[in-house]
Amino acid sequence: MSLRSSRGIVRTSRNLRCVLQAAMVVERVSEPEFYERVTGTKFEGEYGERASARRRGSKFESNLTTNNAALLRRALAPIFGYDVEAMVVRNFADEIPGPPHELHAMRLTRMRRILQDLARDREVPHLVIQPQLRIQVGPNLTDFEHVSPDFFVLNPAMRMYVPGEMKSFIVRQGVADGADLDLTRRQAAAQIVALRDEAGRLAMHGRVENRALFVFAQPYGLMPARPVIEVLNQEVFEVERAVQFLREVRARLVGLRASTATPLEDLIAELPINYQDRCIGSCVLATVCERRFAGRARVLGDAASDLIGPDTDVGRLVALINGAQPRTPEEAVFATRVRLAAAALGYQPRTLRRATG
Amino acid sequence: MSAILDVVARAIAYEQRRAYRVRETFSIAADPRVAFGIVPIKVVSEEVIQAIAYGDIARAPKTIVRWNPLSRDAGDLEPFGRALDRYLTSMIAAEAVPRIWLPYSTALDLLDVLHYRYRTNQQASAVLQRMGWQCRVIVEEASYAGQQMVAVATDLLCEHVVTGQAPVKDGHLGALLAWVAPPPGSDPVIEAERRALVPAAAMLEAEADKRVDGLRKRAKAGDVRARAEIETLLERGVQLEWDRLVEARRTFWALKLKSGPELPGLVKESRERASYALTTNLSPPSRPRRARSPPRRVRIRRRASRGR
Repeated sequence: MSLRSSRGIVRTSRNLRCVLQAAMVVERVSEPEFYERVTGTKFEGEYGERASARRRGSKFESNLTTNNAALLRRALAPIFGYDVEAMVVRNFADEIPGPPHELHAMRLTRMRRILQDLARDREVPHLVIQPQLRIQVGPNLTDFEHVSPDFFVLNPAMRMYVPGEMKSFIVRQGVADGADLDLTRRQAAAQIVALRDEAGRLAMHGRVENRALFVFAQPYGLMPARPVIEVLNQEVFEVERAVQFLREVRARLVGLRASTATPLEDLIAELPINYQDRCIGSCVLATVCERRFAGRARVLGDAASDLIGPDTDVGRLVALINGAQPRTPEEAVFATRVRLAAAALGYQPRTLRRATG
Repeated sequence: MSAILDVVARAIAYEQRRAYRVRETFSIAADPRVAFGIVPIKVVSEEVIQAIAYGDIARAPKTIVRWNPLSRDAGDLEPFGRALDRYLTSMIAAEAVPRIWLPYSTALDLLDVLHYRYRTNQQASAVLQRMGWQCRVIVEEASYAGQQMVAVATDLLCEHVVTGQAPVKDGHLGALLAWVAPPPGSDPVIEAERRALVPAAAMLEAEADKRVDGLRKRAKAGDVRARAEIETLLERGVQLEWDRLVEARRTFWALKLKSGPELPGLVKESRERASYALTTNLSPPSRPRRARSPPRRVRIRRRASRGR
């Protein structure tokens, strides 16, 4: 698995200050391989999706899209006021079977034709399964990332498609797990940005709303729960910033390699990182970056970093609690604050402990 | 706890290389004579249980392993349903609050899915329907602040101690225990990092999971050896999680805090809620239409046609 396609953009949008991660996305590295190149040891943690998760996801999607997407049509028709039987469906997965690297270009061409028809006010399909888009992330023609929504459904009010995602997450009481939702929303946001870009070529960008549709699974099996439409203003904003950030990092890498073609792993010291709680469990280099902050407040989590600054020396903080003399007026204020907190926690400073025996 | 208190406690724990106690009293009353442990292992993403260890937490667990968890037949979960029913019923009869120990909140989510799938499922046996209902009671009770019935080990430990690592890492029970009860001579920073390489969230370790997944096709084709190997891997995985839960519970009570003055009142409230919920199934599964007597107009018509 690499950081290609919208996966890389989504990852970047979650940490807009980590130049190293953005560089990994720009270079499309395979994360475990890159980890090995950086540390010299194999990545021992778990990486990638488990087989059972992949299987359930594809089963759910195929369940919804078989028989001319009967289940998906039934789920979506009431939202847009369509007659289920009258809905016209185009399934690109059926139309263009073949190897993935060829599919992107062919599916994109067909999607562009549909958008052209839409711009000319011609009849277009109500539902497009596996459409294709791309986002430009650099100055060259080849600097783009493919974006592949699960489906597009036509919103008759706007005469524009709304991207949709089919996810096999279980919905209970109409709510899916929050952790699952963040990535899914960002994925949909990348699709909105890409669709707006494509629509912009035909002067239709104003018709693209920051809305996406999510179809999750019921707890009883692979039947779809009632679809949810969400407004994704914040996610779209962050994805747009991520695209801009990737452009900047690409230019920065070009600058760093102006004299010699240095491999990315040798440029690590030149690329600022932004280690945060979110990195844990999502980036293979999380432990590597964390070690850079050993002994500093950064390792105590985001809240600690925000409150006392990521570079605060933990040893010094505890020394102040234990009665060390503050070196500056600012440190004196800080010492008073942390000593009060320590007292509230029932902590007995070391000096006091020694005195009381 | 306010943010500054949390940060200072984490800093002290980091320096002392040991979790720092932030409560003077336990937030839950002592376990009753018998506490019931539940440790499920799910098929990732499916929210289907493929192995479950359960029973008196002070003894060796009973386990159920399912080589084909996606099968529609869920009858193999019945022994768990019966054991849970026996425990809950006996505790309510003795006017005591049942105590259910779970390793982490993911286990609670799985019980919730059991409730959704079986409580009102007309195809499920009465035992499974009752299990679904009782799972719902457990999940609902867990949502009350101060409740005394459900003890989620990870949450309880995090409520009583603060580690020297980022809060997001505390969700891993193994890593959390590395801070609360570090093995002698070990650095919890390194030990927690090592333990966190293996997930602890009601799932098998990745390699074992991959192996089980690969064997399942052969098992479905009737390969008895493949079935046996799956069952061994599941048995091992669920036992490992059970041991971790037992260690977490032991570590928790070893904090040796005082009993809070508010606990008797909370116990009473929890007992009353649980007793009512476990004896009053408010929305039982609807009976199939054919089992009901026909509507009045049909009965009249039938009687008329029979000449009465």
